[in-house]
Amino acid sequence: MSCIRPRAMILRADGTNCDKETMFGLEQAGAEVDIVHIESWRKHRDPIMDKEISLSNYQIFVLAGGFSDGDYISAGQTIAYALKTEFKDEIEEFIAAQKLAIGICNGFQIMVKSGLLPTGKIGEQQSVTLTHNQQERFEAYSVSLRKPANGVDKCVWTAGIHNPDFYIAHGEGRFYTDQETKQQLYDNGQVVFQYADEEGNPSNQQPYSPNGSTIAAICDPTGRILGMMPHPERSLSGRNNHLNTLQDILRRDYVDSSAPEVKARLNLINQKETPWVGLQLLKNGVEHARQHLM
Amino acid sequence: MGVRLEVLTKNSLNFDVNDDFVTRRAINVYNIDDDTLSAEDLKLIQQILEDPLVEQTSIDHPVLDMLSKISNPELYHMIDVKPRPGVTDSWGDKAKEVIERVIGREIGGVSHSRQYVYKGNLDDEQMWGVKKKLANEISFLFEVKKGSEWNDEEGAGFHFPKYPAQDPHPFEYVDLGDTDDRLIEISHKRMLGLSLDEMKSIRELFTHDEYEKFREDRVAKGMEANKITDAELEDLAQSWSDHCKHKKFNARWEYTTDDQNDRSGIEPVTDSIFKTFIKGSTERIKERIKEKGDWIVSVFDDNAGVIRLTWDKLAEKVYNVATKVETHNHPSGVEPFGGANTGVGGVIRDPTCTGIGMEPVSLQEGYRVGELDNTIDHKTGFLRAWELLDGMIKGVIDYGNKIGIPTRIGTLFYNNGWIKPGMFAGCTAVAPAEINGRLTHEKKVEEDYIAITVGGGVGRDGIHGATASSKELSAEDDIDDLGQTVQIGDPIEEKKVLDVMKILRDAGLIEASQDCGAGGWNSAVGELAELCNGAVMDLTNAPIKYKGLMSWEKLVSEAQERVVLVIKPENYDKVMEICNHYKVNADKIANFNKTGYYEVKDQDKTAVFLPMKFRTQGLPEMTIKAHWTPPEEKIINIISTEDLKDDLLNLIGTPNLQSYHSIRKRYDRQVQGGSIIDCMVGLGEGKSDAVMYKPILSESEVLIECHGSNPWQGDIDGYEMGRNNVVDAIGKIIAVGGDLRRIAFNDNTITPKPEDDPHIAAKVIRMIKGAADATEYFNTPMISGKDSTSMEVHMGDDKIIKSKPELLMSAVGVMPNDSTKVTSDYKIGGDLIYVVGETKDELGGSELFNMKDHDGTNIPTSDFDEIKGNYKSVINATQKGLIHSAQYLSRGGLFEALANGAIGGDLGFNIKLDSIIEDSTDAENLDPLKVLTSESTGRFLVTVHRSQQEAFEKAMGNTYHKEIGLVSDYTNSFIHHKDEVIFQANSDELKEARKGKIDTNNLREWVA
Repeated sequence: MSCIRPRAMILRADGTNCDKETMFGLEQAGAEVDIVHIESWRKHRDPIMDKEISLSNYQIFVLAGGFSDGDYISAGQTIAYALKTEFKDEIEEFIAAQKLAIGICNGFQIMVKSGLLPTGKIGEQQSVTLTHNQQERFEAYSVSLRKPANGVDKCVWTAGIHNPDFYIAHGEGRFYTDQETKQQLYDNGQVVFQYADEEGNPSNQQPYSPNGSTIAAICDPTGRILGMMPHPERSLSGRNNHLNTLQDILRRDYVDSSAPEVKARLNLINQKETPWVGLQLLKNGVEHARQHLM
Repeated sequence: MGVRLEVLTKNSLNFDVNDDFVTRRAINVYNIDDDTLSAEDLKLIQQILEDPLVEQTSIDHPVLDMLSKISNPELYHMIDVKPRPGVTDSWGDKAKEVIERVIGREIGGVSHSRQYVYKGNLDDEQMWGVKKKLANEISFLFEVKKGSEWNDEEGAGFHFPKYPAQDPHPFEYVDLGDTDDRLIEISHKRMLGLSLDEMKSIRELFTHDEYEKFREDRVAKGMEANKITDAELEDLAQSWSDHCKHKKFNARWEYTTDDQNDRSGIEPVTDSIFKTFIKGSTERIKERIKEKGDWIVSVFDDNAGVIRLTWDKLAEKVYNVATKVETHNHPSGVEPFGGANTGVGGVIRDPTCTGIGMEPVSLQEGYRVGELDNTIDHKTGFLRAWELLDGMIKGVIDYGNKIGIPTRIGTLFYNNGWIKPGMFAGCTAVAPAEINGRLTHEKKVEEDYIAITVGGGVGRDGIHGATASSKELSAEDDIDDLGQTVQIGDPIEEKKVLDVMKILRDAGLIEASQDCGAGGWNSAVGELAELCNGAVMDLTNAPIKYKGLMSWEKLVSEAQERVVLVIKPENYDKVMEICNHYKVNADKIANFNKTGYYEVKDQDKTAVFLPMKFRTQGLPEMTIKAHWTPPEEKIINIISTEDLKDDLLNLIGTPNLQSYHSIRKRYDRQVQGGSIIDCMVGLGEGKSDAVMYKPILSESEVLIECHGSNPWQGDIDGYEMGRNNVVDAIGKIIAVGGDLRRIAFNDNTITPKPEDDPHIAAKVIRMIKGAADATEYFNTPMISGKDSTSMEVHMGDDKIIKSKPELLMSAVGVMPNDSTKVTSDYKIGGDLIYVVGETKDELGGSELFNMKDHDGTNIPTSDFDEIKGNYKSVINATQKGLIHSAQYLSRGGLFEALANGAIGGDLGFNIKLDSIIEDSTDAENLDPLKVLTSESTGRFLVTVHRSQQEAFEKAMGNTYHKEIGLVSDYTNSFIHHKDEVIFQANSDELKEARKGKIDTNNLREWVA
């Protein structure tokens, strides 16, 4: 096995604020990561590292969460514009080389506004959007996700991940498109995650869906480009899960797992996926890059 | 004339409403002050400003081109809301930047406004209410047109805010005259906030022999020898303001007492309660813990106190942590959104501008407002409590979420003493202890070093913030005067500044960092100059937002999102290159020297020339008289109760105790990825009084943060309150798995004016002494602090409303890892429930008394030795892994904790009160209601697995602990006393009660 680590470039714009934990997660997942400010990409050099910056040096392109440029006009709009104009050629070349991309939260917003999702083509006419949450306010809590029934599991990032709990934190996350496009996304297996209620059924209702839409994540037709509102980089270890102390205690040797009161508790939390599933998601991408792109 | 673009969300107009908004979302309006835009340009601009799937745009034609033709047009009110000239308009600025990128050339300014349509019959009073729902008129201008006055072709028309641009007129001389009246008049007219003594001391500069040499040097600079400039007056007013000099805490305090058994130990005269109590106790602790390893890195001589984060002494990389909490009142009282917004932005810059710079990892808040049903007449000029709270919450959400720092913890209290609202904002930051062999917590300012200002330019916004916050708010304050002191923050601009600061720091290019908070460049450069003994600042080319500013305005402007960095001259080019690369504004503003003078130039003339020594030491000492009369003892033997269950359920839903998940769920608490214990825990989302998180993901260390504050106790006795606040905060840290080894405090005071009232003064000195005694006992030093001691309002007709005297002790605990973490939610049915620590009849200042309007005086008194025993035992049991859930008992007492554990765990409890009543030394005074709601300090509610009972009992040793019952695995809860069930409720009842009456997402319902 090769020891060479796949390389990931996290794009940082003014207001990007999840870049460091995304970097930490990708490093844990086995990648070598650079955070590149958009101005450094523009000028193809970084004033400190003093090295040439080009997307072609990387196998994974990451658009991290935050409020790029303050999201003043609409979320992700200004960076999306930059991607589809100034950086169009580089991104086209990157995608043609069958490389991977992930957009998380604000990154997902940038992807749909630049056309990168759902078509996989930068600069394509925008066909879906992520707009203001139905209740018109920023929401931050953990949600349960599911994969669509009868879906084709084509996204390389989410292979083997079925019912994860993830944290969301956004004000503009309501997935919106026309009926026809939505149907096509389902038919093509491009809907990666839906918000799920307690029974595991898809839901667009609060609190299961934080924004009024059912769709939480989509990918391009190849499954290599993923955009998602939830934050996998916030669930790298189980320690921040609000049920983690309960899980720990139930696993202690003095706790009899066959006792009815313990069984009842285990039933409640065993429906949940292993909590470090966020790391698994990043590992899937890094592993794919290692096997197919190195 | 320019171009007006209006962007409407499709399908967002609903004309069928009554007494409501027709516009469900605001119409976004962009006024572009440029008449050279071609049709092609406009097409590109439209594409960038709209989301085509959900929005439509109209150019130079109103979207609302039907308002006048509609039936009953007089029922429709178009309301255009635009920023006042000089108010931050980030939205417009960003639009300008992106339009310039899209069309490839520079254009004129862009102003963003929001347009709404309201339908309903409105009189003036009702219109006032509708406007209040939209924005604050301190920062925004409203233009209102009825449908019947509306022109469907013209719409609201083009509008662009213009600043008055007078000729630059840098400074003028002021004759101080030779009478006291003249001095008072100058101070008052110029809003300097300087007392007569202070003004007299300033006049001595121009009359006293001692300053002969100064006057000669002054003439050599081309200045008048015997007159002061307005810029110099403003400089001294700012640098001598209480905000910057803490002159009350540094005053000479004279203390007398009527209490025969006064146990506070306060001497008749204390020279500076800051130096004697706060700094004094910390220094003694530092001395004492030296042998065990000194983890106190730097205290009281920078923007925030610094302690060691890293535990392993041999670690390859060692990190420090700094924390600072700010108290705020002035701007939040008139512009709560902007006040809270810039409060957060400002407090972030404190720890991040400590030493050569640190990185922010956590935020905390605290809101203090009047009761929501207190409807002050808006004609008094005061905002109502709901409005203040709504604005402050939104201000914190906006800033914290956008800048990407989790707002982890906070407290919310209501009392009509806080008609002028109080606000706490705190920030914690980390940094490597050394970078390239240089200690990061030290500032170095040497001769010829350069100060650069990084961030935006200055404007009139924020002028006089330092002096106004030290003034009481009065009903007559003119809106235009106050408007100058209010600002709206731009979190993205601040993030840009902090990001570039970190890059410069890591490259070894920064020698010192200083935030521009109250007092702007004047305080930043002035304070840095003290480290070298002189500076020359040149404002001629300093960045400004608009023309027409006088020197003093540039000097003390509090325009946000700026820092001053000190660099070596040889690094200047590199620093500028890096700032330019990231498109962050940076300009040289000063040079340091050893002349002993502070000099400011503008337009090639010297506007300020003052001796450094006089600026720092010329301030005459204030004297504050404190006289302590203990409150008349009032014992409430039996608390009247009609229905115990109602009382208990109401207690957990009072405004002070109800859950505020609706606020917390709008804070991005998980950003940065380090959260370990959130403020909501367990399956049922119970409360956690303390949070735990990893400040640096690659390191094992965790921080624990919480608040200890009992302002209702402060009404009765500040000394006991000061002690209890410290004891409570430590207990909360221990409950979640912390220990006593490394805890530090911020002391944050919000009180009415001590100098005007010896009784208030006695409360203030007593609470600081109490906190100092407690922190010293537990070796948990105070490392930073802040005081706002003007929390009172004049309501006209000589009525003064004073706030409760509050001392918020904000604690940070450092642990080597998260292995001991414990949460408050019950874990498994059948677990044993214990109370650790003795319960006494101590309900004075309690939430139950507050709810029932009782004024009993028996506040908790903390026996440190006994409590330390409790703490050590609980730490011992926690570290052995014997505790399933733990809660420190504070506000609301035992019942609050019992219910919270049940709600958090989705389980119930089944307990007996007999043992904790009968075995108390206070047994004869206790009854079930008292024991369930007493706020005796140093106690915990813990649950333990049956199989671990023996081990737990052993770990507790001689510590007072009582087993009181079981966690039940079904969701009914019972309390027994004397073989009777005295309380029974199911979990739905508990949860419903806990929700309380206030929904912070709909505070506007209180508009009536």
